[in-house]
Amino acid sequence: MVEVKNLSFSYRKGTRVIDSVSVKIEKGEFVTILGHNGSGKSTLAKLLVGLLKADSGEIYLDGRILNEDTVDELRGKIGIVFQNPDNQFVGVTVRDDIAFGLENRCYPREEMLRLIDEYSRLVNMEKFLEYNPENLSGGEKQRVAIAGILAYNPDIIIFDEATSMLDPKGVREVNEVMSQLRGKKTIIQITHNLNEAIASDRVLVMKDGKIILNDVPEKVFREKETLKASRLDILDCMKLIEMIEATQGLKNKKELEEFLWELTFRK
Amino acid sequence: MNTNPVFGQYYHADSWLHRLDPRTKILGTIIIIISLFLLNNLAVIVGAFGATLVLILSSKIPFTKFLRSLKMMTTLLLITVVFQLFFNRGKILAEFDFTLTTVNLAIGIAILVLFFFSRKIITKHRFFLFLALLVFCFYLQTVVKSGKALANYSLAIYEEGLYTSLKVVLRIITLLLISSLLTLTTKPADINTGMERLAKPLKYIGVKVSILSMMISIALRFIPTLINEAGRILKAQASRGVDFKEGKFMQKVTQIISLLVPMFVISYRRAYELADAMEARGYVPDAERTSISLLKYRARDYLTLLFVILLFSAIIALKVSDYAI
Ligand SMILES: Nc1ncnc2c1ncn2[C@@H]1O[C@H](COP(=O)(O)OP(=O)(O)OP(=O)(O)O)[C@@H](O)[C@H]1O
Ligand SMILES: [Mg+2]
Repeated sequence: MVEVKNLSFSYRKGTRVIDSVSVKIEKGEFVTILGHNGSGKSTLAKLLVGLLKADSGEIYLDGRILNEDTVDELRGKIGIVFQNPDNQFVGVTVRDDIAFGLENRCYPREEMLRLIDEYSRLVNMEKFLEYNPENLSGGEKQRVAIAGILAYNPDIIIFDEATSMLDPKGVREVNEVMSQLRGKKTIIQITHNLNEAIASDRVLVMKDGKIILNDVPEKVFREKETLKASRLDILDCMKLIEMIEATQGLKNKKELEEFLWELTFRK
Repeated sequence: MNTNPVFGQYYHADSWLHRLDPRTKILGTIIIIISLFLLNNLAVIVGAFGATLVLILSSKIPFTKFLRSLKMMTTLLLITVVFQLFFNRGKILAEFDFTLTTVNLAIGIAILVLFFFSRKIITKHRFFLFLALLVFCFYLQTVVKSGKALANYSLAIYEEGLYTSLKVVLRIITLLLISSLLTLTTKPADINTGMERLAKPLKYIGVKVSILSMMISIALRFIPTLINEAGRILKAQASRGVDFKEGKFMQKVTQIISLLVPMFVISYRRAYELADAMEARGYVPDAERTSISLLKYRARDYLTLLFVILLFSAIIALKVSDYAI
């Protein structure tokens, strides 16, 4: 369980990147955070894993407050997959990379080998254990990153645009792993793609460091104006509905053609 | 599977050398290299070279893999040979009289021009071709005496020079082979772990060994990535019209800057993100941590080390008692 109370943060004095955010995420929930570039999603994620220290407000993980004294211990409860597959691959081989988090927590070697075996299988990377990152695709590297986090068994996993640098195949592979984890782990997915949010239990929309919407996807997607105001692209199906509504006022074929023409090239 | 050009020559095979503990191999290599520098008798050095060839044979690694590291050093080796051959005085072994005649000069210039124009046809091993042609030109000067003589000179090869150059070259080659044997039979990560364990006593003089070894392993991890990245940037800049092949000095400087600036920016960002990723996965600098790599001394390690140390002691003992080895 994650509980954030009145959290504020700024990199430089004066501009609040996170502005009095309060939110509660239940155990086992799958939550998507949406927001335009620079809305503060990654900053919030870094605050949650203790990479940044809040100016004010509190974060509770499983009821325990996150601060300088508890951060080393609470990091075992939470893991984060970042956007760039290359910049989070620490090991020289897949095996070493999955081991990294375990080595840091002083797991004995036998235990490490067992966990590496188990979790490399779970993400379908068991045949690549001796590979170097140079010989892996982006999707494969992200799956290794996931295995490296799962191995030390945190309750909460944050995916910060983990698929945005991948090709379609990589996106599919990572999403598959993510859906396997559903219900077993608390998942916080960060994206600016609304289509990726449909399947989640709850959607949070961020704008200028504030959470402006916090509801089930069906309700959030109905807030067309708010979504547009936070510069988010709306869902494809919503676009279709909008289009059909707009055509009501058209009188003849020529106007319809004109309208479709504009629609296609407006973007 | 490994594209790391610096440490990543590792070649997978199943031999006793592959199975040795990396610490044994690192220590052994260091001791052997020191011993090589102590040896000064051609016969003994030839023996050491032969022993190295036997070691290579027992490593089950194809010899061509070793040639790669030798190839990089050929220029250095050749320069050494020439230097040692002509700058050591002593008993004359052979003397050559050269006469530079107009005919010789003309042939020489013709060969040079041909060499220049052959650059489109013969693209490989041009350096060796050049050397061969150079030797041929000098050879001509000893046989062709027709035409007007422009200069007369002679070169002598001394026994001393021949011996010294043979010794130096064999020593360098053996040294290269022995160190390649280490990097070819040991995974980079194992070399790193081995060095870390060996360096552990350094912590008593205040060196943070765990941080040092983390730095080495991150370097190992990112060198190939950075090289790939440099390749990508070169291509990107070339597509923007930067020509890396031609240009005067100032243009060269601009070209290098156009590579270095993006490299620096990207690397900085990479380091920043990597540090976050490491911290998020629980890394605390200099804190206690376990290791996935298992290093274990076995009987064969003790035997190997014992053998190497005995050999080394023998060399020292013989040296001290003035034997010419
Ligand atoms: N290290 C930093 N130092 C200073 N300012 C930063 C830093 N990182 C982010 N910012 C600023 O903080 C704001 C929020 O950034 P953040 O990365 O949290 O946004 P985001 O929602 O994750 O965006 P994106 O969708 O592009 O990932 C941005 O205006 C950004 O310029
Ligand atoms: Mg972000």
